[in-house]
Amino acid sequence: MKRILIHGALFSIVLFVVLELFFRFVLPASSWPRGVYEESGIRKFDSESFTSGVYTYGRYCRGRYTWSINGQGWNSIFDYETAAERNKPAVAILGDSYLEGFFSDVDKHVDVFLTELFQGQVGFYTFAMSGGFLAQYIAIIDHHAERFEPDAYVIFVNAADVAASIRQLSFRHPYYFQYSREPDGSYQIVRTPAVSRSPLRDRLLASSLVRYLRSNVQLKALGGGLADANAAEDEPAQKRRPESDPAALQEAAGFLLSRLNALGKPVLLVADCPKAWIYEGGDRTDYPDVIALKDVLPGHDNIALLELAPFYEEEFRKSGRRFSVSHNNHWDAYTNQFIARTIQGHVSGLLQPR
Amino acid sequence: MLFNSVSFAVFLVAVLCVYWAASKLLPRAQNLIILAASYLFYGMWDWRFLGLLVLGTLVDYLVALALGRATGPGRRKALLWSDVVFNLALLGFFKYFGFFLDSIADLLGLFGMTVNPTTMTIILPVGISYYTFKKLSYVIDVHDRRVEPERDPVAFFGFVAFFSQILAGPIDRATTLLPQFRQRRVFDELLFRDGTRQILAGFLKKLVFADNLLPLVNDIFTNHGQYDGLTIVIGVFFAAMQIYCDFSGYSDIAIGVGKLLGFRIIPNFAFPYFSRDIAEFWRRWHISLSTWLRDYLYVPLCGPKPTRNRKGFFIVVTFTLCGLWHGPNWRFIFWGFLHGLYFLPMTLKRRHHRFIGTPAKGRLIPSIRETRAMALTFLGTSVAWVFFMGESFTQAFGVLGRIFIQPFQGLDYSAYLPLLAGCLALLCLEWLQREKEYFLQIERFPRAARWGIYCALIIVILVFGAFGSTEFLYTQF
Repeated sequence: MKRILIHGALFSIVLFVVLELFFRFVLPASSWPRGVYEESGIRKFDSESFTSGVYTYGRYCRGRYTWSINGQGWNSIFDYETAAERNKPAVAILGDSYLEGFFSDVDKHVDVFLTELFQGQVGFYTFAMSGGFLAQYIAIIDHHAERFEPDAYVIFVNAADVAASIRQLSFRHPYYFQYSREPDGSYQIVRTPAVSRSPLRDRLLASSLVRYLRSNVQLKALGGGLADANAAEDEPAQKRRPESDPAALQEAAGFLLSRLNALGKPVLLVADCPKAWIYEGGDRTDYPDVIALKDVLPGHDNIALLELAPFYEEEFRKSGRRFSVSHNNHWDAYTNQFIARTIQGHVSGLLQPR
Repeated sequence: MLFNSVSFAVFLVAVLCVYWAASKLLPRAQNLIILAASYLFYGMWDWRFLGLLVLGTLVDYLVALALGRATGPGRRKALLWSDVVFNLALLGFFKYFGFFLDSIADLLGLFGMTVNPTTMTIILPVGISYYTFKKLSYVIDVHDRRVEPERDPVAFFGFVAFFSQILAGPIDRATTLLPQFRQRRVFDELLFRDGTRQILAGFLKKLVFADNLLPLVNDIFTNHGQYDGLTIVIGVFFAAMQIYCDFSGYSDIAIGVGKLLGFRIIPNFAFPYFSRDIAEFWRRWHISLSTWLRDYLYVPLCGPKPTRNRKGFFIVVTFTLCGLWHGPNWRFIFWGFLHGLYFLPMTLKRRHHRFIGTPAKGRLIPSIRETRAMALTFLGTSVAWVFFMGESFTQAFGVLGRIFIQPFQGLDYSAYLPLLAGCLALLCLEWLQREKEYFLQIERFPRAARWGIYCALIIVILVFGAFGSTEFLYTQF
């Protein structure tokens, strides 16, 4: 029996090494940067270790999108500088996983295409987090993005950005950085404890075999299936709270816009839309959060709102191309470029002296 | 707890550690550990039926002891028949009660009589078809004095409930398995390695082939009206491969697990798709059931010195009952009847032992005659699988009819190519290894080659395997 134990152990080592090499170089298992929390509670990515990798999906490791974490902890090829360090204007871009961009190469993101369109004369700093919503973006601006003193903000919003931001409206309750509406009508920020990462989990995920089984095969025993569930949440249609009270949404939207307006800098809200509208048509009144934002927009002089839907429609009519990767609804490189082209003029407007 | 689940892997490792550790310290505890593990395993499927299993086993245990003591042939016969009736009544109630009530109601309906049978939802206790046959063969063997009644209750209860076999066999005999329970199992390195290899082979068949083929087969059968004949032919081939990979994969794992515990379990498959006639097919497919039916049903039914016609009649009866054993469904009965019809001419002409031994023995390529015989046998069994796998007779006839109605439409067949290539590769491997017990029996290869092959197969399973923990088809019978 001793012999078989020794041989079994030896074979296990050989097998592990072979599988590690196979899922690192032949079929690269999906890798993901390590989330870290600032003292303020803002979640970024670890900028010291795990700073680059490849995101793949499915058991055949399709996609193979590169990611790279910059010195400030965001998935971007650019490092962010303060106003004193740079000699050009800068625009901060905020959004959810669509902007975080693990479904297209890091050098094919909106910020890269905008930089090209502006011939490098403007810096674009992306602060995006998967599953994010407006209240979180405001927290990122307050506690993090303002350090870099951007000249303007571009914030991508979609179906549940208002509802998810307010604790009483949100189906996500409790979620990190939400506002709670107090009985006196004021709003208080609510911070639930940050997710803690166990060192063991990080160590396990360093193995390409474990990552393959968890992220690519989505083995439930290893917590697989979560990545897809998170991705699905970002789909506006699923993010929506069906019982949203329009009046409550409008009030909340008013509060959120007032917080943004108080920044004193130009803000462009870019409203994405369910792609089914574009491909199949759909009920456009069924988008309460964006409707609420539009309703309360007048009076917030620093804020403009741009809806992408008509631009998508025109582009789809011309090219017939869809605006997502093949396996979920996140933007592909082509859509990132299209978005950059679409908002270019509006971004220029933000930077004009007022 | 499915064999293809993480929980079973954990369970098996724990059982092996306790079993082999205890074997040195407390050799007599081996059977107790197997019994406890088997009841735990069975109870995790459905604890409610554990009592039924224990009660049924107790009855057989006591009847066998009584048979051992009884000397008068009348008393022995009475004991035997009371046990047979008890076992078949339990099996009949849990498996066939609703089916017979519905069938009688349907029959009366044909004569204009409307009957609404009081339908009860009877849950089928998992493994009942297998352990009932296992117990029956034991009592019959004791009656026929082929085996001594087992006095050690732990050994006997462990033999009946043995977790590697209880879900879907193999239906091992008391004559071969019970003596192994009576002896202390000594760790055999070669047997352990062989078991590990066989488990790997089983997982490959189940996860890579059976579970990937199933959705395609379901789609082609369900939507057969949308497909052309060529697609249907591919679907029927896939169905034949699916059921083979599912059940032989299960059997490989079950036998492999037995080997890890030091048991030598009878083979259940011997490369059945290389059979040259239907008689050979049944010597290679679900061997433990076909030999059971031969020894405990067909031979007694035929009686001593049977005529050819009597043999022919009872071969059809036996195969029809074989179909019924699979489940309370007319499609299974028809499938069995069809096999009986296939077999009948051979029985009548006494040609059912024409092909014994390995096909194309000593040669890589079979002769044209052998190839034709294998192809025809595969064709016949595949046609029968359509009734076995189809959801209804209408669907089965629809599937077969479509082959001729719309033979070729020039559809896109590319989605089937990877699995077609995979199935052909598996058949080629099996052909090369057809003299072995299973295709991965490569103990004579150099270690580096063996390890390379294991690593490659594990990669194939990880990359191409379906990890949905799909139930094995034969555990439903």
